[in-house]
Amino acid sequence: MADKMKITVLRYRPEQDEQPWTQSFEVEYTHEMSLLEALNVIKDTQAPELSFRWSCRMAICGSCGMMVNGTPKLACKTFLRDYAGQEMLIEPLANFPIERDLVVDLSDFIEKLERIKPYIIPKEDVPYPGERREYIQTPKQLEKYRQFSMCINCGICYAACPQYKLNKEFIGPAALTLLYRYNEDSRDGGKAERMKLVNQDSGVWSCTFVGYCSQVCPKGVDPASAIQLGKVESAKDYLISMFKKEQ
Amino acid sequence: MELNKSTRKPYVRPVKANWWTNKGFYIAYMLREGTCIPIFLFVLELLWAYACIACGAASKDPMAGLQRIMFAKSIIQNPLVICFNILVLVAVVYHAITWFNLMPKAQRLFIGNKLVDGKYFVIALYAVTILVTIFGAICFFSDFLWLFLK
Repeated sequence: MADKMKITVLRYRPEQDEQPWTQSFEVEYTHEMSLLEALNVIKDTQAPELSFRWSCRMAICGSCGMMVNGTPKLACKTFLRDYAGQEMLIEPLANFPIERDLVVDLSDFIEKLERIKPYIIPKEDVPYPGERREYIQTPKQLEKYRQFSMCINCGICYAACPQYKLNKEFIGPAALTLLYRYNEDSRDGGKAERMKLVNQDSGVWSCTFVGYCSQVCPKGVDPASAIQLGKVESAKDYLISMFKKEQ
Repeated sequence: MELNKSTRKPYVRPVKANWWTNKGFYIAYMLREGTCIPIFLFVLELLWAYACIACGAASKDPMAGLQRIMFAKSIIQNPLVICFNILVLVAVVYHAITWFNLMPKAQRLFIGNKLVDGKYFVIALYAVTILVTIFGAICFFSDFLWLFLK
């Protein structure tokens, strides 16, 4: 016998609505039903025009981030059974403009991601290592950045960050984490370029170490840690620049 | 309706001043940051008391100087001030605990190829705190001991 769950969704249709409004649905659910499946059931049977993003259904693509009872989560990784006896309030990801229903405009995050150059910039003075045509990395060198490379760019940490809520200039958790990830990669030579972004007002120093980003990350990445380690790097960078002649 | 016309109208949700009140995690954070207020007031209290004692001791008129010191003493011994000082102690301990718990995020240590577990940093911080407290207590009570011996 399937239980029933009341799911209230924040709706917004730009062509008709001045501001968002809520609509409630009732869904029968089984033990293994995820929120994403429930939303698809609602779309199939009750509200065909309901908009939300999704793709992989298995916490890889990072498309289905949304607020579940005020907490940012991936819909595919959220199960109705965990809310048995309660109601669910589903809202679009916080701190981003709402495009339609549960779809948000992530372009600010994407722009910041591009800004930090999230790719390996080869070191100029190190040519490709011989015939192998590959860089060798030790387990320790890998361990230095491994956990920070698990980010799927879902934007959930931005929805959790009060600093980003109050100051949209802040580069933010995921982008700063990936920045740290590439700076720590032994194959990368772009650190000097990226440190300029780290040192800015909008860089690591805008973070007040709330730490909620690390709490909500669906991939177990620790953005708060990457940003604090970034502060250490920034402080070192400042100290060194005091003794270094301007170029 | 023109089909090729965009109806885009992104809606930006307003930020309310009480954004932090609906989540335990944010409340704990605001409390952590808020501890600076009682600590700031306590520092003012301490500076004022020191100034009173120093000025009193340096005063040319011994009676006036003594009065000044006694006045500072009466304020510090006021039950309300003692209650406030206890509140400050609670705030400092809360702040310390929250920062100790966050410490592993700001520090990474490799031994060989392995990353050291963050809990050892926290244990080290508590160990240092306990040692410093014991040292402080010894200094404080040895003063009393010295008075008794005299």
